[in-house]
Amino acid sequence: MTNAQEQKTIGTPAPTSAPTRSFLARLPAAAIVGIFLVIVIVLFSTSASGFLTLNNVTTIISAASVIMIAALGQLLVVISGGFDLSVGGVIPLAAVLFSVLTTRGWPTAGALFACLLVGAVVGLIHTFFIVYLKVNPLITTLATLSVTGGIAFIASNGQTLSVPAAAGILGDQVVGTLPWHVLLMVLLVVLMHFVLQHSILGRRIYMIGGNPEAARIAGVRVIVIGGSAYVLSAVFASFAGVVLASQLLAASGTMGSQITLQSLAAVVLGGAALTGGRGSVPGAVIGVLLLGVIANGMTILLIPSFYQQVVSGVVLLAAVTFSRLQERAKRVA
Amino acid sequence: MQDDTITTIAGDTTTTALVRLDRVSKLFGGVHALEDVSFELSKGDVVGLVGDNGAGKSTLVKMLSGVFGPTSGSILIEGEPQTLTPPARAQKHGIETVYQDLALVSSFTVAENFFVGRERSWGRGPRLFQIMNRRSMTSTAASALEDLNITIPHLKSRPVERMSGGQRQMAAIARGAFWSERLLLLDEPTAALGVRESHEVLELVRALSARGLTMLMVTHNLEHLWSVCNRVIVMRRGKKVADLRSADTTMDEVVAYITGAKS
Repeated sequence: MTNAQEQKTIGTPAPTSAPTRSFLARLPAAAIVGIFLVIVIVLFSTSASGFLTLNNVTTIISAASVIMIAALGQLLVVISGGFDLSVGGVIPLAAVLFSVLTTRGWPTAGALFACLLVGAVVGLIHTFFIVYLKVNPLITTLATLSVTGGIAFIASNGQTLSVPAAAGILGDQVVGTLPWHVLLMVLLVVLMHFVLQHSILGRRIYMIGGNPEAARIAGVRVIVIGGSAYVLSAVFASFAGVVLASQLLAASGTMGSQITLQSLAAVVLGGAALTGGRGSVPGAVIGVLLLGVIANGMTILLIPSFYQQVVSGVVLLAAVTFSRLQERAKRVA
Repeated sequence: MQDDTITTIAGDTTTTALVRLDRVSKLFGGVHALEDVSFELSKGDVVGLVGDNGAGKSTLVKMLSGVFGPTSGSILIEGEPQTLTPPARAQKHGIETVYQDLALVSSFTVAENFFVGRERSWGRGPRLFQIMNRRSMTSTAASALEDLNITIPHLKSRPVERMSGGQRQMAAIARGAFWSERLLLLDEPTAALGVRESHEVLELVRALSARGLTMLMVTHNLEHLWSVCNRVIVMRRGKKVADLRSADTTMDEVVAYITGAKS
């Protein structure tokens, strides 16, 4: 009896490897952040009165909408193996441009289109320097962050400009308390998820981030694919700027400058790796919601916004550390 | 006129080499990486390419896989001189390469790696906006592996970065064999593998050879070479110094050619 059991144990190869793979190691990174999001929501619902009301949920989603739009672009760039710090400069630039054009009597759609066009130009500049000349994306987008943010300041003369009420349509409610920009944001989220998961463009964005050499050998036009990620990122950022201006009926050179970090944080919280090739839209959604929920709950609890900044940073660091440890556990298993 | 005679000969499939290198040279900044290299590969050949470091093996493989073109000389595919650069064109000519560093995308599954750059898709219009036919790609990759008796667990769900070096190499070779219509280039397929995994890879090479696939394999391991190749080409300082049937030579003789003791 004991003999047979012993033999069986000896016959089983590497008996340590299978059971040591913990439950946590099996979960995708975004799922862990998702669990964390649920915990945070439960905590706030019990401690902050009025947190889990329809009104407040709408507030959270409305506030998160701009970050979500910018994060979608950031996600594409991060998956392709780069990152885009210029988001926080393109947003105020687009917002100020939108304000100036609509004030001069441009129709809202025309002003929006002009802003997206400016975004596309910024994206093409990134493509030229980063994808074609292979200048470091950190330095390049830091430079364009400074340039675009600076132009926004110059154009607004350092003041807060107003936006005509007619151009505030994106902030107007479409159904119930749901504003237009949230509807558009949701459509963009669904569209980008589909693009990344099912289109050849999406597949190749993952490819050039995961193994650019293999992509090149396989005949993938790295410049076209990498370029489209940067162009889309800047276009999404300028759309986010327009949404912000349209929502607040105001524009300034500083507005949305913190979104660079928020969008990067959200994307990384959602499982994207800064080394490229990894990340997903559902993950980014969870990341944006987590940051949004934390900010909102702390506001309800009357915690000053400086503390929110600290907490957001700590959460990001914790999530990134955890996913790193998890990754290591997976490799061992 | 001269051309005519050549074409006539080339038209005869029984005598035309599958791939022929005709006095191929490659200069890198004045240094001859390859000098006047000529040889032929016939259908079904499994050729081992050996030589010391810097002998020109990699240059030769990269030229055949379309990474760069020759400085002089020509490469003929079934009698026709062809340009093989860029790699996508070499692939169109039926030449596939299994690179030493694998060229697999580590975050993709085996099934996804099978169709890197050659996705099957639905729809019209620009290729980038077409919708991938994932099911068709996955099932084709699965049946291609099954066809070669390769069992890789989770080939549809696990990224290759979480697989063993042996599994990755088997997947890379299977992918090459799947797409290769003329020639499969293997760059040190057993270099990073353990004994058992090397054995499995050589087993696979032998199975592919039995199916009539033509292969050119760069290796440092003569025992591995002898276990699968019917021919051996020795390179030394950019020149071809020997081209022998493995049945007619010995490892000692090949080593002598590699080191220059014999030439």
